[in-house]
Amino acid sequence: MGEGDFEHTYPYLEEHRGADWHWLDRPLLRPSVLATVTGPQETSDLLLALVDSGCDHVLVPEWMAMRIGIELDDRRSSTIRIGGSSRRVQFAEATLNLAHPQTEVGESTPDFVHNWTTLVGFMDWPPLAMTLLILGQAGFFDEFTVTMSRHSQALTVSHQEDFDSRYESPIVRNAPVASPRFEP
Amino acid sequence: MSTVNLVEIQKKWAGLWVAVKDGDVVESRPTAHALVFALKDRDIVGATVFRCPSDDEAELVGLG
Repeated sequence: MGEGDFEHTYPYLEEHRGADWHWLDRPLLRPSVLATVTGPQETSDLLLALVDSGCDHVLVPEWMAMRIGIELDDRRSSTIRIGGSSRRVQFAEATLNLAHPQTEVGESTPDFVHNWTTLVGFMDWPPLAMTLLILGQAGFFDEFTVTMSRHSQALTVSHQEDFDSRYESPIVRNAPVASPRFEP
Repeated sequence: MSTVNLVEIQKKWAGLWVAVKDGDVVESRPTAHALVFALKDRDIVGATVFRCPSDDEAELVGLG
């Protein structure tokens, strides 16, 4: 992935908004991409993934591990609070495959623009979740520079170093020594 | 990203998880686990999987 030659823009995806929102003249738009998750044996179906800047992890349902052939180790697990309840998350390495922006929902032979291996959390999934893949800070936002615009109703995924090249001034002055810049 | 009308699919299949392939819903189930393994059992590959919320559900924030 060379600098300057990796930039893909994904339009926000409109979802159905329920009748309770009849008073609001604004569509429900989600920052989403299409992606798959690959384990040692198989690759998942194409998933409508939520790009979630408020989540620190990449998360998938626990049963996805069996689907793609990953063995989970409870020694690599912690608890998070999501959907109003605490859930145990077991972590393992998996490969994420990011589909090209022109890939359509339901496209049977999608093109992929990038794949990378990262730590993925497998957990008991909220039954009313709309998606099967959450792309959070570690595992997605640290793999790229992710630029999001609700005004433009789109997000762009570009080279990891793009952020530093845009902003010449240091973002954090006098950062404490105890929290050096993380190098993934 | 898509010419498939997600809103219309979600309205029609409200309350279910669906698998869409080449413009059509090829499978639907009440749970994601059931759907994904039904696709595997039927050897259906190349589908996109997502959930269609019911009209009376509260709107999700994040994962919900």
